Amino acid sequence: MAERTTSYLAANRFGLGARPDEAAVIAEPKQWLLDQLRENALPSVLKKRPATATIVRELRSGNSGNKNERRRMARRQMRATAIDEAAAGLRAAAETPAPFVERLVFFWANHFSVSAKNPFTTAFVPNYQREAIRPKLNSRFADLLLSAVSHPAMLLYLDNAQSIGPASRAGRRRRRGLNENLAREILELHTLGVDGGYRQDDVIALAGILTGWTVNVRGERADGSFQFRSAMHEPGKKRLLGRVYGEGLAEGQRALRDIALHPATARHIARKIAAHFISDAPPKNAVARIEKTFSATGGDLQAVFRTLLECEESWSPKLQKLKTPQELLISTLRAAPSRISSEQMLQALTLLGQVPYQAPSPKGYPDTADAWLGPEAMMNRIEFCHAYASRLPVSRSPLAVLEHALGPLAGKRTRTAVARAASAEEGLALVLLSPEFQRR
Amino acid sequence: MVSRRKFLIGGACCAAGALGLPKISFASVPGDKRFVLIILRGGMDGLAAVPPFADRAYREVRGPLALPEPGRAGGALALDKFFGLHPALAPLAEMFRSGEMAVVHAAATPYRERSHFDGQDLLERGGGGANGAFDGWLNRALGLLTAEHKPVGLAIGQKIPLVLQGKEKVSSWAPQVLPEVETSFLQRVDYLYRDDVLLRTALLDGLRSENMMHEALGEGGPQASGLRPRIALQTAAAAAAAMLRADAGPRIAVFDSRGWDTHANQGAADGQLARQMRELGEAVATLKRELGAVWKNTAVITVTEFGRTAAVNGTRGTDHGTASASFIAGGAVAGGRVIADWPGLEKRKLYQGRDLAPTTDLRSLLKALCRDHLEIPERDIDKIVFPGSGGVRVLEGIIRS
Repeated sequence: MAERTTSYLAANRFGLGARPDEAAVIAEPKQWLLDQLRENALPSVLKKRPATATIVRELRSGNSGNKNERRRMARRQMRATAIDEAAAGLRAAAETPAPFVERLVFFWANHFSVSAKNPFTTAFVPNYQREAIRPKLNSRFADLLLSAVSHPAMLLYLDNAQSIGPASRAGRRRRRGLNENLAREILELHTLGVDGGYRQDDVIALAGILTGWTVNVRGERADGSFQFRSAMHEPGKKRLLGRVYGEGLAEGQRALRDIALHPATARHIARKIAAHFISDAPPKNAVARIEKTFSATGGDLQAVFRTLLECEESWSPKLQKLKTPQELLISTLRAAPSRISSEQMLQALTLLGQVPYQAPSPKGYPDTADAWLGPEAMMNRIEFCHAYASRLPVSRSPLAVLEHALGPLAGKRTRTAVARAASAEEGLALVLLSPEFQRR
Repeated sequence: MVSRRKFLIGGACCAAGALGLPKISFASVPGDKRFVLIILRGGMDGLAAVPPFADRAYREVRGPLALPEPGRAGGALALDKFFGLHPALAPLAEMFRSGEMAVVHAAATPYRERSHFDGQDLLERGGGGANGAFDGWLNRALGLLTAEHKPVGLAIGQKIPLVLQGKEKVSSWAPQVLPEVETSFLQRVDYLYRDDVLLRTALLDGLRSENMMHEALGEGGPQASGLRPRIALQTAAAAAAAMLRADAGPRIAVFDSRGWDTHANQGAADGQLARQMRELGEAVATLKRELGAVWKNTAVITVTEFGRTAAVNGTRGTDHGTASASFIAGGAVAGGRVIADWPGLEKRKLYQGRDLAPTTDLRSLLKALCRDHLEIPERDIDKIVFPGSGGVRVLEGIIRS
């Protein structure tokens, strides 16, 4: 297939949408992508972001006024932090020369989804992507799983921080009990998958294993970090998916590593990856190949994605995946860069229906066309693209934008429509709305 | 629909509140003259706006687009014995009668291709060819006005149009709402999605649920009322007037209007183009009303990049043409006439057998504005504002002395 086509596919399907001068210079598309993953560089705009400990300290240090005052101030502060972090992440994605990395950050952060559903989680969720997900992109799946599940955002979001083993010291004292939420979502969403062959007993066992996995938020030295509290931990052996685990933190970590290597996990993750990159109904061959690599390498993510890139279906010139709102915004910012404020980016995502940190459930935001293309959603896309094109301060030639964003991927009808537009703004809006730009 | 309105636009220079004045102070131009330029983007059909109803070939050439004769229902409003005005432009007819509005017809820039981008480019740069000025003619004109406290120019809209771009600093103001998506744009999106089942279905469902379908796709059906209110041009006009009226405000304002590229279902007395014209007429009326006492020192000019084909096309609309009509209105205008060296509409008189032929260079009107209203010396106009236009005669007597 034409080299130019694979370069543009690399930039749009695996990257986040071609920036001017991006696709044209990709000589080796597969290698370009794999190099990015291997390096896993941190975008400079994120380097100065505050650590969770800093955020927690600042929140706790607010001493002025009464309790309500403090709470209001804390809420305002957390909201500001969340906006800044979300905007920084979007900007990083819009500007990065390593878009495959940013795509994978969003992918895995959505797979291990956490949402800011109450003020408590709001303090921790914005940092989650950067602290828990990002560093493990090029490790093993088990490392990523452990990192995600141990982060305070996850422990708070899925209520594990307050989960107490009934037979534990704290459980016997307080008669508070087990919370199965995290355990169930780990099995159902993060690893084996809903058809992965686990049973209710396994959920309870895992919940017991995870008791004591909590967050350090009390006392002088509170810094919001992971903390294992043995007083909350369920004593005794637990039987999970046919294996036996003892007490304590290390045994819990071992259990998660075993789950990560379960054959059903390989199948579930392979399907999720193929569905994200290739098609809502992923081709069976590609899924099988990725699954095989996953199992054979113990979940080595670099090997897994190498296999994805070696599948022929990954490079089909047929654009099958509809862009999610976030992908549409980022690819728009990449194709036609402009000075857009944090508020405007977030308002665009609100209009389009995909607000950062507000996924409606632990399943995260959906990935499929039918989830994102209702009639109201379509009109919102039209309105966003039209508005964005209208406010670009410098008129760009729409045909030039079409060329550098899509190149050979743009079809005849789109080219004609853009060429015939009544103004440069209209032409650009049509580029952004074109079937080829709305997909990847 | 309410949620759409929250997409804030940046770049405004005004205080909070819908029409607050800018915080920057402006100079006053000698004589306190005001000028408003309205750019009609897409190619306004001059033959529809100012129909030459007495031209013998008019009815035949225009076919279903021809307006009924003056006096009939939906008929043209007679301006003189030969030319009429589209009924939707009624406010302009009134100004014509009181001598405050004139039409320059069969006029065009030197541009003879048919690309919107290039046509608008040339219209706004004011150049005569490919010699490539990189700024707008009005910005260059601003540079020749008083040197004291600039800027005097104001762009209303999401960004500064090319005609105002250049060395001279201008201000901009935008209303805090999204520009409406015009019907003509939705038609283009429909074309774009013709082969794509998924997107086309979503589009049609979306339009249906917003009650826009009949208008957008030109299907028969009841005239939809309560559609997206067309406030955009009104807002711009009201804002321009409010700011131009102020003692310390700007003196020159530019805003544009889209949706003039009527390739399909243009309509005649009613329909898409008629709605555009109604909006334009009301905008100019708003300018007159809101400028109040200052209207007597004001000139408003409408320009468009090119006109449209004389005959209707296969989709009940018109394609890109050449000559069109410009309106000039205001208390400073010596109006009450249609200025045209009329070429005629018989097929052999049409440019390339299809378009109204241009017999006047549009720059002659713009030069008259610069010389007689803005009082820029003619040699500076020929050298700086419209370089290379030495051969274009200034339209005499259009500005009241």
